[in-house]
Amino acid sequence: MDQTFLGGVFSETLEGGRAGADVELLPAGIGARTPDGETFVIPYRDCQVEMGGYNGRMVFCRNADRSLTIFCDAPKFPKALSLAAAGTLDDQLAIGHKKRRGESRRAFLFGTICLTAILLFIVAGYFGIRFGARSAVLALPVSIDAQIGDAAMESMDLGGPKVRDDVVVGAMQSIVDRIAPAAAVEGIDFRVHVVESAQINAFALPGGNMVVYTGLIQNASSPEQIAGVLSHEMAHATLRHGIQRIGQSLGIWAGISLLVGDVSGLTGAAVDLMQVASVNSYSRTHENEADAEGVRMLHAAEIDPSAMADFFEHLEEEEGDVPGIFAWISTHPDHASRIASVRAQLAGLPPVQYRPIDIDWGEVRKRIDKNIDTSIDNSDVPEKN
Amino acid sequence: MQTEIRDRPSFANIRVRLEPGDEIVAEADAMASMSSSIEMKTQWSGGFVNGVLKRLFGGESMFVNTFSTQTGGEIVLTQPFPGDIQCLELNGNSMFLQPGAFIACEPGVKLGLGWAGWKMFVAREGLFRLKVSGKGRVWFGAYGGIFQREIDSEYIVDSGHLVAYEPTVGVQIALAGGIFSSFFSGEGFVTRVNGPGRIYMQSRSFDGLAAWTNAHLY
Amino acid sequence: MIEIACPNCQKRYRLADKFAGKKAKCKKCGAVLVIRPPVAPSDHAGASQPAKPNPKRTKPAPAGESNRSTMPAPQVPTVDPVTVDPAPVEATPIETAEAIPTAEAVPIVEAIPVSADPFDDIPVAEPVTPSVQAFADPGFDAGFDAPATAMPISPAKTPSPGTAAASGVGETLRGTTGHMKYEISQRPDFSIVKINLPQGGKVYAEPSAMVSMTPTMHLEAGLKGGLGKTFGRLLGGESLIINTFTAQDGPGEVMFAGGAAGDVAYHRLNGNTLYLQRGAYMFNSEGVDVSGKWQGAKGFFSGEGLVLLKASGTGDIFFNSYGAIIPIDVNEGFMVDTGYIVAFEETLQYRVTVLPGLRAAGKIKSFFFGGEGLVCQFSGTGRVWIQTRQVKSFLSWVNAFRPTKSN
Repeated sequence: MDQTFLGGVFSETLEGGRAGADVELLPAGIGARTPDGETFVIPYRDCQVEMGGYNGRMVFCRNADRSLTIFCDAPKFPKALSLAAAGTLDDQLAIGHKKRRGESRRAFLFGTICLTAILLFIVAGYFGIRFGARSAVLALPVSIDAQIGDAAMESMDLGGPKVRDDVVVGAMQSIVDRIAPAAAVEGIDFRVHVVESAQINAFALPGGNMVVYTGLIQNASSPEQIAGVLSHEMAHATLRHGIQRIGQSLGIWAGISLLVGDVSGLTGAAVDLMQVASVNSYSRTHENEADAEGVRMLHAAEIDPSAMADFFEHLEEEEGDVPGIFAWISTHPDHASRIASVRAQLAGLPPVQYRPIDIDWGEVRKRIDKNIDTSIDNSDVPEKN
Repeated sequence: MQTEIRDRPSFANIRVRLEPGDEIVAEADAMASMSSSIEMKTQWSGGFVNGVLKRLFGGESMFVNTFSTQTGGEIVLTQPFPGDIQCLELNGNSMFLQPGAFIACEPGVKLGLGWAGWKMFVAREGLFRLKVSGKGRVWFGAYGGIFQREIDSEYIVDSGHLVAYEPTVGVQIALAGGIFSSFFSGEGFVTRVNGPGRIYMQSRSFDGLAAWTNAHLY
Repeated sequence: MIEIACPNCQKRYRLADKFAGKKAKCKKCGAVLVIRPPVAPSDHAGASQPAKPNPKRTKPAPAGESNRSTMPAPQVPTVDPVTVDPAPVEATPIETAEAIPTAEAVPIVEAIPVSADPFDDIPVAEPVTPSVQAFADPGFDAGFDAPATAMPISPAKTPSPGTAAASGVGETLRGTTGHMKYEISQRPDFSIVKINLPQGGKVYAEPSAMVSMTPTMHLEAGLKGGLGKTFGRLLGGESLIINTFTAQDGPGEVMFAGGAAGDVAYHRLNGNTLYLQRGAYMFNSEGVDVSGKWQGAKGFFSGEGLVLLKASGTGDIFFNSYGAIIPIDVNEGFMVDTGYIVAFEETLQYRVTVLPGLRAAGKIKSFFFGGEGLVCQFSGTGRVWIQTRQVKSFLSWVNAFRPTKSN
């Protein structure tokens, strides 16, 4: 009662190493005949039986040195093989079956867990990112800000040489030191660096490192105006906007990566977001928050906050003419409404006796301008090309 | 019939020289050019239902063209994306091809569509797969370079990189590492293949290309 | 009043208008300055407002949208020239004080010898003795069994410098280093790297780079190097996460590939540093430190400059490209469009500027100049790897075919 099944054979002697075959259960062993007529036999006593294949139900019969494999995935084959081998292969078949069942159970479990997890994450991820990122990130200690800010400072190209002049740096630091006690968050150590560049800009990194460009000092008409800009930037640091931003983009990234798996593109997108964010600073909400907080801190430090609004207006006038301004303006769009809201906030604050900022403004300006030469040396340079 | 795969691995194409009596079956849109002496007959691929299924799920065309000639002629067969083409010879055995990989075959080869299972879907290999069996040569291609590997134990392949595999190869989905590592590594799910058998892999994946393009678009 | 800064040392000058058009020597560093006349507001050709570093981009339609309708009718994509995007750039950058000295012409090294006859074959270079030493440790080979077929151990072949095509551009590159054996195949367009590690060997790779691996390899994702370096990498354009592949259970093999069509190059670091542009980094062996070099809040022209990753230490680093890779040895000066830079050695000085001569051009057609007109001027001695395609051009090209979002 020889039965024939459709299967295949692996053998080094075959061209290509494999062929389809008619598998026959002969009295002595398993036989296979290829379409070209080549035949192979594995006696039952030498047979090593394994199960596997794409559906897990394929039976592989291998000879002792594993140089020949006959396989078949017909559903009736395992039973027929068991009978034909008179039970000698039964324990091997049983092991194969058990392994396969175990595998398919594991696969099913894995699939169900994954599906549930994915559904959970879709729900949790959406809400988590919207609302959790902010509070989760704010729960981090302030010292993290400093670590990140310091690392960023190290790898940063400031855009100009640092100004070492004690009077200039000291003046900026003293403005910052006057505002710092009014900060809402403790533990941020504000250190000012002055950089020589035409940029009318200043910024604060998470953790307290601050950079003021000489272009800002030159274009301000009073130290109160500089204080306005500085307190706005300090507000970004005390309100931890930088960390929030990182948390948000990471949160989105982490959330989506959990859903999708392969995330190089999304990581790249998040990184790009981060870069765009770090160059062009913060979202509109953050800007408005920093404005409000900046005014509050100035007020608490008894510095006249209207200087901030004055500075915005001054910049607005100059906008079309002095290109260096775009660095400030473009990161802080829509200044007309900002001027208005600063003035409105001012109107609502309790009156306080403002004290002027105690630095030698004239000396600071002079020293900055001193770095700028007003004559040239054209002694041994040829006049024509 | 003489065939040659040229311009590998980037813009591979198959040049076929047919003589009277030769026939070659190809996907409907695989033909790039042919001599005027070549005749083309179009049929539903495996019947109407199969044809439609193949189009919707298998990434293959609904139709196949059978090319023959009375006097002799040449055909150039290509694929829509840049990448490699390989030829494999079936001798009664079968091979599973990922959707979209099949290009052409000799008349002795049978094309069948099969359900690949959800795990293959997760592995970014599609819900269906094409099974080629019989006797004759099959040409298939993929985005990227194609290389083969004989495996006799377990091997791990990233999703989307498997072009073809023998039915003797067991396929399981697994996480690339631990739970945290799998997702944060960007690898996510991987395919664990178990031999004996041969697998064909591609050195790029469409997902990878999409991810790379998207990364630069923001 | 004219305000200029020395392009070399950034020393600032404020001069009377009478000096316009004159040349002078910088008092601090001696570089030649050309004093340009002050620019009147009307010179801002067509720009009614200063450029914003983050110009409003036309949001590309998300991929899912085209699938929403049951049978998507082929839409004729409205050709949206990407001029909107970078057009604001043209107006401002030059006036932020850095006058480029036109007196010093930077010679462009003729990297590719090309004959006048367009149908002549481009001469193929002879293979040159490799400049990288393949560090072969006799103990290394004895210590592990390569599971794959044995590879001939030969020194790594790097294409010779300053020439167009490496000999045998499609051939497989093989080599052995102190840490691994590597094989780069499917070149030049879909290159894939296969490495064999002895037991305990480790490599660090960018996310999603792995194509396949033996089960003996273990994958772990982490923030390598601590928070500072991690943040630096993020700013350097790469991911926060670094994947560590360890051959834990025995010798292992793993294959890496990039996402786009392109080539892979191998570089041996001997205590020196290599700068990689964004997206070029693939993986490295132990002993190499990878961190970011960030241009910061400088607001570099349109907000983009060179986003660089810094790889330093002693070990192996592999990087990939979009397009083929051409290594060029720079001796005097070399100018490359920023989109074509893959990597360069630290011994080179570099400066990103707008292509000289474009400034007075008024409206710049973005697609012609790849969207920016930004070039990087290299000087000094060292090697630059450039790629033969750039992403921005591809994106501009692809953009024309993408379905547009209708409001």
